[in-house]
Amino acid sequence: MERLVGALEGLGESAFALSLLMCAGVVLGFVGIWPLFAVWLERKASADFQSRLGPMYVGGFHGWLQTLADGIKLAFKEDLIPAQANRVLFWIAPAVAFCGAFATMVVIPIAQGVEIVNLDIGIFFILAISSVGTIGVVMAGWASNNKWSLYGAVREAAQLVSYEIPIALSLMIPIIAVGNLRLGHIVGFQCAGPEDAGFVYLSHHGWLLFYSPWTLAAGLIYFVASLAECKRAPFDLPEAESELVSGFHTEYSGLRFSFFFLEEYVFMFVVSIVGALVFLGGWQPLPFVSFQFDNPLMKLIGAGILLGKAVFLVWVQIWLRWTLPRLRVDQVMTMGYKYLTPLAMLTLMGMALYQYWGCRYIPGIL
Amino acid sequence: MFTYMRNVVDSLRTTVKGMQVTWKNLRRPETTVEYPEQLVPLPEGYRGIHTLDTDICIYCFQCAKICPVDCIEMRAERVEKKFLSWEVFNIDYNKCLFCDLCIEVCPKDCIHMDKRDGSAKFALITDDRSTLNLDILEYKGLSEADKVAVVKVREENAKKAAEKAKAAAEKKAAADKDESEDKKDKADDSGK
Repeated sequence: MERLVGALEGLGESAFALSLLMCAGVVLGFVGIWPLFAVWLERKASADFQSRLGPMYVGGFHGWLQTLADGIKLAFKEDLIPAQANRVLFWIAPAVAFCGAFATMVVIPIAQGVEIVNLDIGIFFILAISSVGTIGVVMAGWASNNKWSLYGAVREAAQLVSYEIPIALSLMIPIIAVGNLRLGHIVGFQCAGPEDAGFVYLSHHGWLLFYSPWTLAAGLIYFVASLAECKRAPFDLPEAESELVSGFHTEYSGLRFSFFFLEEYVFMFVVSIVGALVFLGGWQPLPFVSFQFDNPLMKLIGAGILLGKAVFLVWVQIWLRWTLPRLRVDQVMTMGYKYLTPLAMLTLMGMALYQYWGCRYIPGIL
Repeated sequence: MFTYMRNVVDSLRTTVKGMQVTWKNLRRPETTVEYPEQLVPLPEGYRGIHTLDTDICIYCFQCAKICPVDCIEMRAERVEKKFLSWEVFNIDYNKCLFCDLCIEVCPKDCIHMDKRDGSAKFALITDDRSTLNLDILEYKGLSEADKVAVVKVREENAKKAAEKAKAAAEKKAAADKDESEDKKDKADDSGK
């Protein structure tokens, strides 16, 4: 993709703009299709956890078209705006929330060298842009002119601001080991091997999750904090259906509501794929054994492996959602400020000293 | 500090424990039955639609007599002073209250409501209530010899009925003729 963009850049500005549009189309297409699958996965998984069947009819095979049918229904619903609402903010809010999740896809490498923009501040970009979604949610809650929506929005703001810290700190720990913010380089670090490596070789470092005890702890902290970041149970306070009447999107219906819905599921995917790239070796299927992913076929397989890891992490999120009850507001804040943040700082310090003293490898493994 | 560390360990431990519980549920087979496609497994002794074992039935009519809502309509073919086989054995499930009395009273144990021969039906869903008056003989056919005899008797009955109808029609026609003649007379009278 990068090479394509580069080649088109030589053709002039209009071709460059066209290539950018193409990239946007690819991302938009994925963002449109992924929630269809994720919602179906969530419904089937929750049904399995409760000994039910879930959707079974639409589309023939286990109701795989159910989400599409629901989406079409949602698109044709009446688009209501409350009389007292701030119409402009109400209108913009879903788009802003959606952009936060949508724009992060730009820097994610799907296979070795296949990414839309190879930003040198990849992880930083993801952390920064994903917070834009919070603004959209706060806008939605404020513009709805509804007390439940405002409660939801304020909870969302408080929760996301407090969980930004542990998530950023826990992502800094692998970056200490790698020394680069590029997502492609982070994966490259995990599959770095000898110069004359064949198709299969032992990597120097292995997956960052198993690189040191500190990165293992960082991976756990990242996962928990990412649950809070994408408003998943047990941290789904901003949209607590049973207490806040779905929180910030109470007043939203039809397509506007579906934008919030898409945002949630796309963001689940983003945090999962970032976790897979940073901690789980990206497209490398095994922790300490690496493969060469240089030809197109292998890149396709690698993309499949990466997507599989991301889907697995999303599935674990769903598993947790159907296991744990929702926390109270004070419990969420306690968890964020008293537990995750200090632990992430401690881990960061430990990792820094670990790197400084040169204990690069876990004794006994490599 | 001790409490703090214990909280961290506890939260991890309880989360893993909870996930084990849901994992166990994940592996358990689904309890949902997709009803119209799959039938619910019926318990032993389930009271469904009746089946009649016509081979051992002695045509004693006890079931029809004991029925508290009088929902069993039955007539039997009579060949040479003895009942040979059923002409009609209908049960109206609009009325039937599945009380099991007809089964208990049967001296030969030939009427059943359970799933003995797999014909027990689970639901009586319909949008036309007249379809609930079911012909129980459909579920268990007659023996070949009986069928021949029954057909013969039915034909005879039909012939008799036809003759009767014919006779009645002739009688009626005659009566009509008389009547019309009377009318004619009357008309003539009034004409005068």
